[in-house]
Amino acid sequence: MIANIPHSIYEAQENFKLKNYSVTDLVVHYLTEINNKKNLNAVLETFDHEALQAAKIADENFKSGNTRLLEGIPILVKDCILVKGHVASAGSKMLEKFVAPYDATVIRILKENGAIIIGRTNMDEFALGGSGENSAYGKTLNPLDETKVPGGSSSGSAAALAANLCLIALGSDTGGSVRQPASFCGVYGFKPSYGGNSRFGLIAAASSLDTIGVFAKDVNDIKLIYDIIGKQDTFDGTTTPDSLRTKIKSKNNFKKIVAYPKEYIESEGIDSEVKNNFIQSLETLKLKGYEIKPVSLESLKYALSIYYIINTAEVSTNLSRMEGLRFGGGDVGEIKNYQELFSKSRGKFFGPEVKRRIILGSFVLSHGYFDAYYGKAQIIRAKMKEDFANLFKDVSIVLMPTAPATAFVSGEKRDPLTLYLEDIFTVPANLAGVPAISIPSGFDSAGLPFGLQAMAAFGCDENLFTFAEDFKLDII
Amino acid sequence: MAQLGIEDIKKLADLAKIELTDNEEQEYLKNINDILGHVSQVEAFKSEALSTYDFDSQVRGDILPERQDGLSFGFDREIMLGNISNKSSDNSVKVSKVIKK
Repeated sequence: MIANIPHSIYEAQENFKLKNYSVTDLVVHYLTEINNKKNLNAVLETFDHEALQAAKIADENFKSGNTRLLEGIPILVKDCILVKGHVASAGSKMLEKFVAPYDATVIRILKENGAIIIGRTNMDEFALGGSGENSAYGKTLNPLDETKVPGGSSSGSAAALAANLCLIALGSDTGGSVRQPASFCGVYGFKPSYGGNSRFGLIAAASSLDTIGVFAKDVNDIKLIYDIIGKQDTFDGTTTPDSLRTKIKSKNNFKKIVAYPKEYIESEGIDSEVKNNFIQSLETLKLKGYEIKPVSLESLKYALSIYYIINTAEVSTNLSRMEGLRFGGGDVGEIKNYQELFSKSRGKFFGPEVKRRIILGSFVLSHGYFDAYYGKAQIIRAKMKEDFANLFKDVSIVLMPTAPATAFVSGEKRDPLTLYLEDIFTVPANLAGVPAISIPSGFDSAGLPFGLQAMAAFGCDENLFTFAEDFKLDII
Repeated sequence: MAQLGIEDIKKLADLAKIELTDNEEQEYLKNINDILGHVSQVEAFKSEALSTYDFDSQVRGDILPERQDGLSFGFDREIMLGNISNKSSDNSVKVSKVIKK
C-alpha cells in the first residue's frame, strides 16, 4: 500500500519520476482500496487485467523518459460512458448485459494520452436522479458520512474520488449530475460548455442538455484534462468547431467581476448555513479584489419548471430505443407479439424514476399539450440564454451555491418533486449551455461540505479554472 | 393547467410502451400531478418578453455561425475501423453468424 497517496496528477507523476512508487503500485493500491471499500457501492466493476497491463507500459515509459501528458493516471468512469469490451449498463437492469463495442471519444483520447481506466462507477439509472439512490445496483454511500447520500446522478464517481479510490473520475452532467455530487462529497466537479467536448459514446439522457464532466481534487487537473478532451469531434456534430473556440475566448478575457442573482439566492427552501457560506464566499472574493454585482435574471425563476419539461421530453424520446430487442431486455415470459415484448421489457427492466420521467415526457409532448408545455419551455429557454449572454458582456463569472443544502440523509427524500427542487441552482447552466464548476467552499456545522458554483460565458470554460484557482481554499 | 386521471396514466403508459402495475399507476398519477402543479408556472411567462430578441444573432450568429452547406468527409476511416471490436488482419469486419443451418 502507498502511504502518501497523490492528490493531483502533478503529484502522482512527480512520485513516478522520483521512483517513490511505480504506476503499477498506484494502480494496485486503488484496486485494493476499491475492494476494501465495497460497502460504499461506488464502483460497479474494476478492469484489473487491462489496468495492470497499461500500468506496466506506463512504468516502462517512465523508465525510458518517453511519457505522455496523462501517463499512468488512474481514472474511474461513470457507467454510461462506453469503454470498449466492458459492460456499460447506465445503472440499469435494462443494459445489464450490454458490452460497449467501442470506446467513447473521451475515453479514446484519455487512453491515447496515457491515462489508465481502472473501472466503472455506480450511478442513478440512466442519469436520472440527484441522490445516488436510483441505481438498479443499489445506492451509493457518501464516504464523508455513510448515512448521507453522495448526490447524483454521478454518485459513484464523486464518492470514489472523495474516498481516494482513484485520482480522476468522469461523470455526465445533464442538470447538475457532476456539480451536485461534487458539492456533497467535497471535491471539484466541472461541466463544460454544451459541445465543449465529444459525447460520442455517452448513453444519452437528454441530448440538448447532456455533457461529459470531470471530478478532481485539484482544479489544475480539471484544466489539464479539459485541455486534452475539449476538442471538436467528427463523430459528434454538436461539438464546437475548433476554429471558433479561439474566437470565442478572445472576446471574453477574464475580468475580476462576478455577479450573483440576488432574488434567486433568497428563494424559499435554501438552507441558512448554505446562504451564510455563500455570503462568506462573496466576502472572500471582495478581499481578493473582485467586484461583486447583485443582478436580477427574470427567466431564472422558471428554470426548474422548464428543465423538467425539456428533460422528460428528451428522456422519453432517447429511451424509446430501450425496448428489449435492439437494446436491453431479458426474460419476460411468454409474449404474443412485439408490442407486448416492448411493454413487458420496459415495465420489468426500467426502474421507477425512469418510468415516471418517460410517462411525464410522453405527456408534455402529446397532442394538445405540446404548445402549452414543451413549446413554452423552449421559448423561456431562449430567453434564459439571452439573459445569460447579456449578463456575460459585463461580468466573467456568475455565482450561486451548488445546492440548496448539504448532503441529506439517505432515504429522507422519497417524494420526486422534493428531489427535483434540489436542482434549482444547477439546471440553469445546462439550459443556457454555459460551463460551470462546483468549488469546495467550506463545511457546515455537521462537517459536511458546501460547494460554490461558478458559471462562465459559453465557450469560456478557461475562465472557470482561473476563477477556481484564485478562490481556492486549502480544505481538501 | 392539466390534472391527469388514472385513465390518462394508462393511456400514456400505453403510448410509452411501458407495462405498469396498478400500484405504479396510482403512484405515478399522484407524482405527475404534483409535478404538473409545479411546472404550471410557465403559464405566467409572457411570450412578448421575447419580442426584441433576435435568436439568430444572439445565440448562433455571434458564437456559432451555421456551417457550410456542402459535402465534407466527416468520418475518419482509421478511427472508425479502430473502434470495431472484431476485425481480421486485412481490416475486414467479422460479424456474428445470424442464420444457422
